[in-house]
Order: sequence, then C-alpha cells, then structure tokens
Amino acid sequence: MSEKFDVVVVGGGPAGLSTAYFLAEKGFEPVVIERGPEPGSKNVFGGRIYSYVLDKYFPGWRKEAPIERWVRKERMSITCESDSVTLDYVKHKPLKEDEYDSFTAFLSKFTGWLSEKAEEKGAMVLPGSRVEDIVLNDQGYASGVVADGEKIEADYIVIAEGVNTLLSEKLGIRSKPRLETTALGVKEVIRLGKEEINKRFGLEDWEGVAHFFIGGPLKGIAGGGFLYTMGEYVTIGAVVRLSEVNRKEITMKDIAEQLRLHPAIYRYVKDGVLMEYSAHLTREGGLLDVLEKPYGPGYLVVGDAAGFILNTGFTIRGVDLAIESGRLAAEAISKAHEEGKRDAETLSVYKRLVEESVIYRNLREYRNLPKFLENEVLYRDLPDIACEVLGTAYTTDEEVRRIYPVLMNSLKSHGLGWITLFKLFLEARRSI
Amino acid sequence: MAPVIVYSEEESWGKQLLTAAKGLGDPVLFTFNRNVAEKLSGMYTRTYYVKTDSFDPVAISGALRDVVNKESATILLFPCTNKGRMIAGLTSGALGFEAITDAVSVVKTGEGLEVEKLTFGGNAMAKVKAGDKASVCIVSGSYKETEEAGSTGELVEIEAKAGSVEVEYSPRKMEGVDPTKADVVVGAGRGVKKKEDLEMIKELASLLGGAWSVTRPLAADYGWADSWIGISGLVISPKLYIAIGISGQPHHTMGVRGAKIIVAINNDESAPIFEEADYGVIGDLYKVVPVLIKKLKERKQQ
Amino acid sequence: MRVLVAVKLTYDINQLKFEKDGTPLLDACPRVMGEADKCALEEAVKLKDAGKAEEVTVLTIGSSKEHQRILKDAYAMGATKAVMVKVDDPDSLSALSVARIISSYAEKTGPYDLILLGSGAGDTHSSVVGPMVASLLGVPLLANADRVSVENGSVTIVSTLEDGQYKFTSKMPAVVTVTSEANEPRIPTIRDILRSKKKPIDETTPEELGAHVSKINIESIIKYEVPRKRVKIDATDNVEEAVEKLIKALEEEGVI
Repeated sequence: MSEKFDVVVVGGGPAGLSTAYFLAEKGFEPVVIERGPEPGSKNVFGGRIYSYVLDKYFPGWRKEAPIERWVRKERMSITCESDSVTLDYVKHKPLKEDEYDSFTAFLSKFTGWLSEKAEEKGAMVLPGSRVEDIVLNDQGYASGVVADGEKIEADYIVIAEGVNTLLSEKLGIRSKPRLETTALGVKEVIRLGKEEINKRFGLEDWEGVAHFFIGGPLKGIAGGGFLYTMGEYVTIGAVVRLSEVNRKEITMKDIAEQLRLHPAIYRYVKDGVLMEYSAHLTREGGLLDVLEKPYGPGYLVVGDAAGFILNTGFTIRGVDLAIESGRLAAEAISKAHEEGKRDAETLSVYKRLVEESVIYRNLREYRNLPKFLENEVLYRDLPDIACEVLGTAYTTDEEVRRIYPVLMNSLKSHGLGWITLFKLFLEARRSI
Repeated sequence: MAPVIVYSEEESWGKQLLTAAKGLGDPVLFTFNRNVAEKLSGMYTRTYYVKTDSFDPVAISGALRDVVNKESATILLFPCTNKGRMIAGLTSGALGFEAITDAVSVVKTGEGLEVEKLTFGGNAMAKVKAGDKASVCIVSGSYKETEEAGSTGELVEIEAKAGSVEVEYSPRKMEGVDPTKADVVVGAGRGVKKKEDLEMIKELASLLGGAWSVTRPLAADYGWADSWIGISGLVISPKLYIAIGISGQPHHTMGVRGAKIIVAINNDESAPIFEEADYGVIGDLYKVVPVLIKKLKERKQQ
Repeated sequence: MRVLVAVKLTYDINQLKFEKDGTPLLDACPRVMGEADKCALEEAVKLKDAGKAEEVTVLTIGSSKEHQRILKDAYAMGATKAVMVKVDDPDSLSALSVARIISSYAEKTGPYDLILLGSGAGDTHSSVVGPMVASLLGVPLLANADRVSVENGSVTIVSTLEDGQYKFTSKMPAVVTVTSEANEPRIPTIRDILRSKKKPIDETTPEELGAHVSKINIESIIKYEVPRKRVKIDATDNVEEAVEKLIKALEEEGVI
C-alpha cells in the first residue's frame, strides 16, 4: 500500500461518506476518518431524511437502506401548559413504496449503510480515530492530516467534520460559532414496540409520523421540539438556542425531561423504555453560517461543516444537502485531478457548483428565516394566545364567549399591540 | 437412585452442594482435601478422596472422570468458582457432557435437568434445559448447607495420575479476616484515591469485626491488594456488605449478590451500585467514612 | 511457533436494557470483541512481535458483519490469519459445541503450539470453553492467566484463584485462557487498520470441520434483580445526621 492517499475525508457523517462514495465511483481511493466507533455514531440526528436525493444517486436504496418508517403524517403542534393546537397533514391516497418523499432513520444506521456503499465502491472507512490537525506544506497547501498522532498524507483533504469545526477554525476559514445561531439538540430514544406505536399514533404497518412542537414543553425558550416514529421506537427531542440555555440556566437533561413529561408528548411515550439520551451542538444560522469559501489550496469543506443545513420552521434539512455537497465535492476534485492541480483557484469550481445547486437555492430563499426565528414572541406569547383563543372557541356553556374580545384581551395581556404583530407578519412574509 | 457427583474442596461448598445433590439423586463426594473428605463422608453416600500434592486441574479432572465412569454418573455438581469452572469444563469436555454455569437451581424432570441460571453479568435469569448428561456449576448461597449427618458413607481413597503441569502455589496473604468467611465486608472502589486511604477502610472493617477487600482495578491495576471481589475474584455472601466509592460494574456486583444487606457510599447519585443497595448513602466518602468510624467508636464505648 | 486464538463477539452488558416485561433488548445492545479475548489476542501478537510466533490465527464463530468486524480488528492488532466459522445464531450454541468447533479447527489445521482464549466472555462468562478445548485436544490447560510467558517450548502462567496465587508451567502444545488483567491490548495504528481492510477472511462451517454441534435449549431469559430496599440517605449536606440514620437502619436490620 502506498504511503499517500488520493483523498482523506475527515468525518464519517452523510457528507463525508457520500463524498467518498462519489469519489470512489470515479476511481479514487478515498479514506474516511471518523472519530466515533462506527460511522455516524457521534451523530445524534432527529430522524428524518428526504427521499429525492437518494432517488437521484442510489438506485434501489428503498429496498436496502435502513429505513425505520415512511413518513405518512406530518404534524405541527402549538403546545401550552395543559392544552395544544395541532395541524395535521395526511396524504390519504394509498402510497406505493416509491412515493413516500421522506422516511425516518437512525443516522448511525443510515451512515452505516452509506459507509458500506462507499466501501463497495472502493473507499476505506476508518472509525475510531480522531483527526487532530490539518497539515499544510511549505506552499500553504493542505497536504495531510494528523489522526491519533499519526500523519496521513493525501492529495486532497475533504473536511466533513460536522458542527465541530476544529479544522475549519485552524484553517481560519471559520470563526468560533456565534452564540445566537448555535443550537443544542437533545434527543431521547424510547422503545415502545411496533404494534404499540401503530396503535398510539393510528398508523399502519411501517408508516410513520413527523411531529413538531412549539411552545409548551419549552415554554419561552427559542427552539422547537420534535417527535419521530421509528420502527420499534419513538425519538423525541428539542433543538434550543445555546444563548437561551445559558440565559435560562437550565440543563439539557431538564429540557429532555420537560419535553417527555409534557401531556402532548407523554401520552405517546408513557411506559416506554428509555434507551438513550444524547445531546449535541448544531448550527442554525442558515445562509449566515455558510462558509464564504468552502475551498482552499488542497481542501474542500462539505455538509454541516460548510454550513449547509436548513431549518425552514417546518422541516429541518441537512442530510439531503450533505449528500448533494458530497457529490459536488467529488465532482470538483475529479476535475482538479484531471488537470493535475490542487490550488484554490481550480478547486473554487466547487463553490460555483454549490451555488447552482439545490443547496444554495434553498439557503438563499430562506436567508431571513433564522433572524425571524429569534423572535421571542413566537415561543413565549403566541402559543398561549392560540390556546386561549381556541380554548374559548371550543368552550360552550351558559356564558356568552365571543372569540374576538378574548383575542384582544389575550394580546393585551401579553403586551402585544397591532404594530408588533404587523411587524412580525412582515418579517414572516420575508422569511417563510 | 442414580449417583450425583459433587466436586468440592471446601466444607461449606460440600454442604451446599449436598443439599442440591439430594434433590437429584444419590450424593457422592469427590474431593482432594482430606479434611473435607473426613468431615463430610458421614453425609454423603460415598466419598472419593484423591491424593494429590498440588492443584493440577488436568490431573484432578482425570481422576474425577474415572470416578464418573466408575459410578456411571450423569450429573455433576461444582461450585461456581474459578477452580470449579476449570474442573467442570475439563471433565465435561472429556466426557461429552454439557456444562451449565452460574446456576441458582437445578431440578430433575422427565426430560432431564432444568436449570435456572444467571447470565449477562447477573442481570438476567435464564431457564435452560440441560439434557440428561451435564455438569452444573452452582452459585454460592443458592442452596443452604446441609447440617445433619445423613448416612455412613464409605471413604474411598484414590491416586491421581501425575499430570504434566508444574504447579507452584502461594496461599493468599490475608490481612485480617477472610472476606469469603466474614459476616461483614467493607469494599473499596476507585472512589478511594490513594493507597494510604485504604487504612480508613481497614479501620472501618475491623470496627465492624469484618473483612475488607477491593474492586478489580484496585487490585489488578494498582496492586493495592492481592485479591478482589467480583466474578473473576472472590464471591462473597456476608450479612453486611459496605461498598465504598464503588460505581457498581456488573463484574463486581455479581460477586456480592449473596450479601443480605448492601450499603453503598458514593457521591455519584446515578452510580449503578445504588440499584443494588439496600441503603445508598449519597455523599463524599472522605466525609462520610470518618464520621461513620467516629460514630461506631462512640457506639462501642457505650 | 503457531498460535490459534478464539474470540467471541459479546454483548456489552453494561449497555444492556430490558423491556418492561423483563425481556432483554439484545438487538439494541452493542456488541464487542470479548474483553478477555482481546487480551488473549494481545498475548499472541506479543509473541509474534518477540519473534517467538510466526503465525497468529484468529477464529470466531458467527456470520454477521459484526463478526467480520472483530476479525478485521484482529488483523489490525496483528493477527496473520482470520477465520470465520459460519453459524447463523452462535449465541444459541452450547459451550460444548463451541469447544468442539474450536478443537476441530485446531486439529484440522494444526498442530498449534498454543491455543489462547479469553478466560471468560463478557456476557455469559461461563469460563468452561477453554478447559473443554484442552480436554478435547488432550493437551494441558493453564487457565485464568494474569501473566503469560513462553520460553523454550514451555509456557508459564500466573493465575489468581480463590485461595491464592498459582504458577502453572507446562510444555507446549497447551491451551491457555487469559484474563482481562493480563495486559492492556494495543490500539492499532491507522495504517494497520487500513491494511486490515483488505485482508481476506477464511470461511468454514462446523460441518466442514466435522464438529458435532447442538443448540442450548433456553426456555426463557428475563431481567433479574436481587430484591433490594434501595433506601437513599442524603449525606451531601448533613453527614452526621445521615450516618446516624444509616447506623440506626443497620442496627434494626441486625447486621451490626
């Protein structure tokens, strides 16, 4: 075996593994270095992946990927102390397997599958090793990495380190994460068994639910909760701004607990066996967090590490964007390799490809959203108002209850005037 | 009744396994300890004493195999100790018997033996059908010791064939009381930071008239003691076990399951040892133990 | 010198969870190479490093990807050959069956000077397979080694048993079982791991080896807990009071 590799990919998440997959497909022999014991195991992921990107690049994936459940029901709840308002979206026509446009999966299993696909093509995946540094040669080209104290040389380095941006910071292409756009994700996996899940959620066979929460369990905290049905498990979790966690002096464990015990969620998960609790950092800055230059002499940055993650308020997208960026990185490296070059100028083709792709189109459209989602009113006031108003609308007794005065009172008691609301509406229009 | 052969080198084990054997057939003892042979021969139908000058598992198992053949026995009982497991494995392999370890009960049915056994580090209990030819290693404390002499069994002396293994033996250096025989045992774990701090553990043990020991890392990794409590070390069943600074790995807790009362002192409220304890004291052992010693001394003087 | 090491894929019982009805959730429990088995492998590789052993063959029984993974791990640590004896549900094999497979393989591809096993698996910990293999092959057993040394065709081990320390010495061939105290298994270098990826895994079956195997008949397996009172005494603030409470409780229990 030669002492130098074609490409070293740092990080075995979806971005790193798909980069390796597409590179290997083009005849490269990439090595993926992953710090977790198995690919993706450090990756605590909420659970939903969109189908379109896999349809494009992995024919036959629906039969072989580790799919937990096909998402059939989409729910969005505004939750208060003791009641909640839920929007329920269901496609009623019977769906064939190739018609579901998203599915739930454990990311560690999913990356395990991606890793097999990459290895089948000729990539090598190396779990259990931590990359400590990136090596630059005399001309300032990235020429290798240091992993567990060993130097590994390569022609190209692909940085797919996720939200832990050690190498990007070393290269000076990313500053320390901004507090406002860094979020903490917390997740619990609860085992209920397939039949029990189907019963509780009104599901059939291997169909599933993706459910988002705002308000209630995370009262007044900027963030959202989620619930996904997996095959035999339910995963629940919350993504909360780091600034909020610091300000409110609560622990992630408390948040997980509050979430699980909230009546809107507890009825789904009670009597389940808590299998796993985990917490991790994530970025939520949208376009603000996207690297200006996800490339440099001898290296490229892909996936979350490059900031390709999108929270639209209704959906959180990362895996599909990660896979797409991996494909584009492979494209760019292959072009540069044909020309026998590794300079920044040649590799900048990657940025152009990204800008033309689904990644940028989405990030650009949603560029104002992160700022909008920082509005405290969304988490502190609106859930209560919604519950108060609807609570009134659905209460009938001898009293006369008109909704409008209740709405007015409610707004007033929350200190919300028309001007504030109108400003919020304008912001929303620009953002969602 | 068909003979059931008990392997034991200790009186207590000989009496526990006799209780188990009585429910299965005609108890026959096999031992290489003359003392045990003489003391227990009055309880067993027959006792085979093997003369040997060292513990060579292969030689001893060879002699046991001869006895099994001679008696046409199909059930063998062993203590679930390191030595017991060795002899059970060797003998079963040679005879083509299955070997079931960590048993807490053995019952004979029409379809052979039915064994309840611990598994997964003592976290689970399995019911296993062991067939009709089996060696079973029984966990300490599963059966009460038989006390009364039941029969006037004969004592047969046999010679072990010389083995090919050279054996050098140095008895366990025992500071104070033997933990396997003590009513009170105080155990120290990784929460105890320095070797000198073991003095306070020893003081507590002697105040309670008991023994002290440690967990595996303290003995095997740090060399603070010659032996340890746990599945690969000493298995104890005192009236009181006090676990100090012990997190409660299955390896360790397996070794103290037989204790009547378990006290745990640990500052980590989520330590698994608290699940295994009757009384869990949440606090810094360096604060709790000195106070405990002080109070016990006061109590003694009263 | 030729060394055979048998390793088992074991459940990491520290991470084992149970269903409410007590059923162990084995599917959700991570599996690893047995801790003591890894130490046995380390001893073998040390012999290779010292120029005493030329060949270190590692055998495991099973057919899953995880079994493949531990064999690759064994290559990365320095094994020279890896063998998978394909059995679909290896955990259901009786101890005697496992021993028969190992000894048949040793007979068929031997002679081996040394056969190393862990002294007990991390999950079932029966510790009888090594002794059985020794019996089946008719070679000496040196069990529970906390230390192993090989010199001039002899192997010596130091073993801590219930009543003290034993030093066993025997001519080879011999079966040695190794405890997890024997050494600190090496962490392979990245280069070794990458090289291990391309190494082949030999496959065979119990039938090919002529090993008669049978399944163990497990009727049920459920969570077991010794009934404990689980009384919590908080000594974080008031130590004196907490200790008094404890002493009183122990007096009432009649254990002091």
